[in-house]
Amino acid sequence: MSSNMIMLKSSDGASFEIEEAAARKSKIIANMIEVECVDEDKAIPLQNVTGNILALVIEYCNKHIVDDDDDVATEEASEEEEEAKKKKVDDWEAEFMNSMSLETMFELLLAANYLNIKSLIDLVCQTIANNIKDKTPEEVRKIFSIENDFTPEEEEEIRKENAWAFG
Amino acid sequence: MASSSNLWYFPALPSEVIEENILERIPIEDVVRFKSICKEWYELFKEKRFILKHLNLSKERFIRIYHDKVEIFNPVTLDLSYLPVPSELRIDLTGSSFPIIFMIPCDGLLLCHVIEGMYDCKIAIWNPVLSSRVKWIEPSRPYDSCDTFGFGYDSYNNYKILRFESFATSKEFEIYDLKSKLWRAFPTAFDWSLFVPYQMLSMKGNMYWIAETISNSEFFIQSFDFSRETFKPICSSFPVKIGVDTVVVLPDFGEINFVRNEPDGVVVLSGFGEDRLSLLHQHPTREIKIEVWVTNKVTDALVSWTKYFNVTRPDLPRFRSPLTSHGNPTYFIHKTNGIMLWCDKILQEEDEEHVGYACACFYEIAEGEIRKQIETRPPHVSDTVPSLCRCACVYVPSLVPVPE
Repeated sequence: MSSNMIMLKSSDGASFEIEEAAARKSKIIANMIEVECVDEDKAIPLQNVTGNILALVIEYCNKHIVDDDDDVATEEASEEEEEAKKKKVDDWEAEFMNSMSLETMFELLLAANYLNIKSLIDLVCQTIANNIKDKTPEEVRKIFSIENDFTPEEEEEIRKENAWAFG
Repeated sequence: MASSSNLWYFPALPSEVIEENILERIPIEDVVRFKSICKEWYELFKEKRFILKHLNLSKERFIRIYHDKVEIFNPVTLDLSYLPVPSELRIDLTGSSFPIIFMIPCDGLLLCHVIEGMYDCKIAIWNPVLSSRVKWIEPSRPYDSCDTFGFGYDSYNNYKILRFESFATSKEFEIYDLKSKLWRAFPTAFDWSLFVPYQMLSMKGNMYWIAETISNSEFFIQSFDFSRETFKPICSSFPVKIGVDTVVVLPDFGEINFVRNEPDGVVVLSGFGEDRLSLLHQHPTREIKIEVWVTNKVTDALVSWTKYFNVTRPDLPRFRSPLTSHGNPTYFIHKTNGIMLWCDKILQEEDEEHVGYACACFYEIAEGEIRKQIETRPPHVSDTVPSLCRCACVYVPSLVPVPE
């Protein structure tokens, strides 16, 4: 694997050097590389991602440089080895997301969505889903900036029908 | 959906990201509560596409009918929810309504076999986490207490019900298609019977039971393929020795209970992943031992059993060995290589008068160890309320609506 380095530039002007293989975790960047609109001397400007979030994205991509890359499937790793490897990645991901604020998660999700990094979208969404578990409808509305468009009567009706889940 | 008034400091996520990626990962209990958030979500939770994506990510729960409550237990979070039994399915201890005796889960729907008194049987489909609507399935000829049912779907994802009596004298089985609402009969010869009829599994649309050949009492797994509409025996060898039962009639709250005289232990059938079977066996020995067996994929040409693990400990639950589903333990193999088990722990099993007084216990058990043990319901000693749960199963909850 070549270790071509490319430069990424965040919306607030911070530059990051990253291995091409890691940057390719982003479908958008991979696409740019394919169509050769990447000038080796110039940084790729990412207008929707701030430096602190881009740093997290790069940390994630560097960690996942090898795994789930189809063409690098190693010769028949034993089941235990596979499991051990998966557990290591899971542990790393848990640590990575641990103590991240919900606000940062949202920004990271927006960045992952913009850069089209499927596995990072899945990871952040699962973590957000775990975070909003047990929240009241009012809290969830606040988190997602949702206006309640039910009348109090309609809302009461839904609550009554599903009373067990409000327990 | 995003509010223009930025009262909150979170960046607004596009609604499609929330709906496509986050909500489908939320446990069913929260989805049901979040119906009241806004109209858009309320409608989303009824969309077929969302329902299927949510089902694919949904995780196992235990469900049990106990008295007039449905208990749904999440073995990972240890959350226990209580739902009312719909009035139509309510167990009425005066004997005037329809108690559920078996439940077969498929895609979060439950096929319930209910029996009134001794003989009056009915079947119904119900989704416990949705409304209390129950769909009764009308028979082509009256149901019988000897009927066995199966519930699954074919390759076109049409839900189907199987009905048969596994006796040597039976000559046919029937299939009900929930789309056409018609029963069709198919001739067949039964050279086998079901050993423990309440031990059944609906997995990936097809049914599995523990069966035995009539000619020489050999145990095997019988399956029913709802796409091909045929029975297919698999796993000709059986990993554990199970007894030939002696039927004893015991009055138990106005019903007949069949118990074996000399049980060779308790055997429980379960799924392993989406395409393998698992079997739990408890020997009736002095020391308390649980064995767990698994198969390779049921779609393989040759299906055979291998030992998953053994555990022998004095603090394991000792299972009652009835031939009804009452107090029947339920389990599944979790990704942590242990089993999640929910059972009635018998308190005074040597005391015949008090057989049945039990508390509900959840265990996470692995090779040689009990990782978790939680009493989910204290023992209930009463002359009017049976302390064993009615019936229980492992089930993956969903928002799939009860078919019209």
